[in-house]
Amino acid sequence: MSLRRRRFLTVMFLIFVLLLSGCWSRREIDDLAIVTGIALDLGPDNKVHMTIQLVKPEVLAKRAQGGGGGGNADKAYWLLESHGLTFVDAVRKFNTLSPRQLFLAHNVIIIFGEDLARRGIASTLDRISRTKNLRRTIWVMVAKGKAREVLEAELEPEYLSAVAIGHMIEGREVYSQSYGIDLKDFLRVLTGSSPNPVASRIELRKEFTNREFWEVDEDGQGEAGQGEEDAKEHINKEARTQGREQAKKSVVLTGAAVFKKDKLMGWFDPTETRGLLWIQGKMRRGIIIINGPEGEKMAFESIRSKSEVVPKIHQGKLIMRVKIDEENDFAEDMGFVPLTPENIPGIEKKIAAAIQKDIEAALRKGQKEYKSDIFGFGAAVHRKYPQQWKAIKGRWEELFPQLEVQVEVKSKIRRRGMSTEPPKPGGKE
Amino acid sequence: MFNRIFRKVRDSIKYGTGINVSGGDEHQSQVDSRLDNNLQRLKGIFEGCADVVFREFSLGTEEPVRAALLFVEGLVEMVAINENIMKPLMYEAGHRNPAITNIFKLVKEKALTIGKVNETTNMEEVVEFILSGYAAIFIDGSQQVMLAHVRGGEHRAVEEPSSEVVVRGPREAFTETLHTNISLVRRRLKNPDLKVEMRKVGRRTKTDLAILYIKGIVNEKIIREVKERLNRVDVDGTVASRSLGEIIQDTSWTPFPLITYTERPDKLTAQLLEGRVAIMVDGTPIILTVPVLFMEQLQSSEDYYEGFFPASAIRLLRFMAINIALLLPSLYVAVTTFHQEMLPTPLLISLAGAREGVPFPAFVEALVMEITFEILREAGIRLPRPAGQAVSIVGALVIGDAAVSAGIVSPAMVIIVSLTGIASFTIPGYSFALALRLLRFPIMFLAATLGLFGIMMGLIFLLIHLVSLRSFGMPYMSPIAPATYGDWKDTFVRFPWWAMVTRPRLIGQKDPVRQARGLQPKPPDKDKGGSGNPGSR
Repeated sequence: MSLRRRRFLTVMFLIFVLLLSGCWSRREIDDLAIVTGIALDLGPDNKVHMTIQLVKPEVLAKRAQGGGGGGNADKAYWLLESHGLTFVDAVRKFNTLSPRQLFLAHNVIIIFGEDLARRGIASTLDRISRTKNLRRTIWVMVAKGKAREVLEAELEPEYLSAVAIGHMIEGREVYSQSYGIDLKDFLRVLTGSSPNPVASRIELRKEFTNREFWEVDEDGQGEAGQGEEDAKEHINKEARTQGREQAKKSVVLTGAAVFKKDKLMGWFDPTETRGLLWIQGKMRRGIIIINGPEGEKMAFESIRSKSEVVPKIHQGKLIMRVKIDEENDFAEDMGFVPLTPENIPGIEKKIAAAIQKDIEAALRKGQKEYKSDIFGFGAAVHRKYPQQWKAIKGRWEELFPQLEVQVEVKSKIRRRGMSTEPPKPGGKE
Repeated sequence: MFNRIFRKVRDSIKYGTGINVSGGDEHQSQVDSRLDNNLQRLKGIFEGCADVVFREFSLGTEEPVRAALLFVEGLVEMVAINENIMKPLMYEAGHRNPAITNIFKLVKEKALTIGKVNETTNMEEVVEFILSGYAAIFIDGSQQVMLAHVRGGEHRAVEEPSSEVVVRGPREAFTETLHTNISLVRRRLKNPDLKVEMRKVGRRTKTDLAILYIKGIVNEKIIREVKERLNRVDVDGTVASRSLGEIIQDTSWTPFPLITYTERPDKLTAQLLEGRVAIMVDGTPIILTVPVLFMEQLQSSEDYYEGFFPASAIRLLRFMAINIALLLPSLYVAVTTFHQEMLPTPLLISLAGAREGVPFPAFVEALVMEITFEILREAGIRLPRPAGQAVSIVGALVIGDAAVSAGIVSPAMVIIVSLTGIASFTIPGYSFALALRLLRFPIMFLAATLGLFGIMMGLIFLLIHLVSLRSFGMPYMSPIAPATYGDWKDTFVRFPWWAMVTRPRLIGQKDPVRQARGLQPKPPDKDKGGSGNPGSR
């Protein structure tokens, strides 16, 4: 074969390779059903009921172009429900319901219903972790009640509740009374030496926004002095009869869902959640409120903290020491007591005591009530005493509730601000 | 495959049509001493050339001698013919020294008031000179012919450059007249080392051609190569410099220009100072310079007329612009049809919303819009200037808007295509911009079939091609590959002038240093009794 002929054939070959493969695996974006949220519930038939939130891009595009004639009635998403014996069974069934291909890569949250979580989610998680396209950065959360209803929540001004909830979790650190964990970390904890993960807790709450409340009043249909409950009922009736304004559902992201292995044990309230965050060193920013020298409330904003969990074997007995170093800014003073070098050490002690109280609340519930090592004490022992860990590994579940935990908190006021004295009326005299 | 087709075409030219490029040998002989014989022969040669003027007259000597003047109307300055040739020859020739018996010498030395006069005895040369604007003076009884330089006639004045516009900087551009062009360079380089070598090219057109270079800076190998390649040129005629460039450049199998085409004398001067060679062709305002590097296509003369901070920033901006011009539609097609997971969620949603109801796949949409844009651009250039602008505005606004509101294309695609088009306008090298416009399409095709993988494949092929190119022996991708870091002072960014001490390494290696070191401004030195800046030490 001559060189020229060979070159010709090579070029033809390359062209054919390109042309024959065509546009293999091509998907136009307008043929995709973009999934933003997944909710998994346990159905009455013991099957996994799966609800997905799908974006309607055209509605959002119309909104971006300036309303498009008050198309506010159109929701920016629609929900699809399917059920199956397993997760993948449910996912595949969507093809019988949706004209578009399911596209999971942009999913933001996965919500487990309380019933399903209590039954155990290991098998479901296995399937989720194997699903291609589904990112490991999605937030894992447990809904109090049905997970499906959370996807129907309306969170103004966002149009997609799943995306909005994702933003809420990202912003949790401002107040630090809720927990956030993504799929990757959740799976890592579940397969680690203390396989007791914690997930976000989300709760649906039916309530009315102020705007609607006032609108009704202006219409003169709401009587003055009527109780709040009556007003709600009234509006509900209005909504039902006129089909006009529907009662809006909103969600609250607070507290945490505590697992033992893959089963939900129960809930942490905001205080306990913060205690957990302190122990795990995940506390970022948060307001600490104490009673000041004259009994008034003082608020401090925690700015930075360090936590250390040190297991110690003392006279053959295992002791956990939790050390917290915290720094904060002075935020607010309800009384009129200025911060002075004299009273600062006393106030710092009070802050430390407040933190300690949170931690103890978390320990009480987690250790004594749920008997679930969500704090990662087992893993800490594993790291520090690998040999001894082998011996106690099997008995850890019995040992853990009896474990002695010593909590040490040090607190430091870093900045007390430029104002030395609160703006007391007539204080300048 | 292409080679084979090309070879067939070439063979048919060589043997098939057989253009007779030899001009015939009827006037290859010497000039006769008898005027009548000469005139008869010339009348034969110029038969049917109504613009050739034969003027027979007698010299104003005591004994009238017959003489004849030949020139081409329109190529000469009539004032010079009347005042400096006819008048002295007819009136004043005889009043000079009667002792001189050689009439030819008398006329040349005592009568003719023309600055540049050649002599010849070769008839072929006479014809050539007459045709290039000289006036030939035949004197009866003399075998020699005087060729007086009275070139003139109509030509375009020096105007502002049209394709290489700068905001600040010289506003002169080359014209169609070779000698004007040479003078524009000479005015900027008052140095005998600036050499101008003349030659002719084209068997029938006899186009004048000048090779310019600065002796002492230029690499002799390049000069030799240029001359060799020009010697090889054997064409019927060359009307524009571009056609000549295509013959002498290293290879034709590339979309990229391997020769710089410029119309700015200031740019040409700077290039000569770097050690480059310029080839000027009479009749074209576009001058060729060699060798050329890839990176120069992204440099504008504007860069040197602005401060080095803004100039460098603008240069980096152009790098972004070529990436946009080459890749943006392909990236859009690849990402929206294969890699949706790469887009941020809100962007994906708005792109999907915009594409809702568009009947074509993204690739077809992009292809149609790009071709439409290219058609509009071409129409804008071809149409008479006032109409051209109207077409581009109507095209861009009306067609784009109508297509979007009709739902045939998505608004995102209109943005992509117009951004691509505008980005390609920022490229200073016009031929280079054309190459990028062309290459956009194969890369788009690759993106539509193989996604980002295809784009990378295309870019790798492109890179391999670019590093294999040579311009008159110089690696095209220099100073990047081969890397000469010293030259990076004027590649991606432009250093301040005082930092550019050396010439480009590969081109100007004969005399590497072009200015003194340490020219940067600094506070006056205390020891030398300056004003003594207290903060300096």
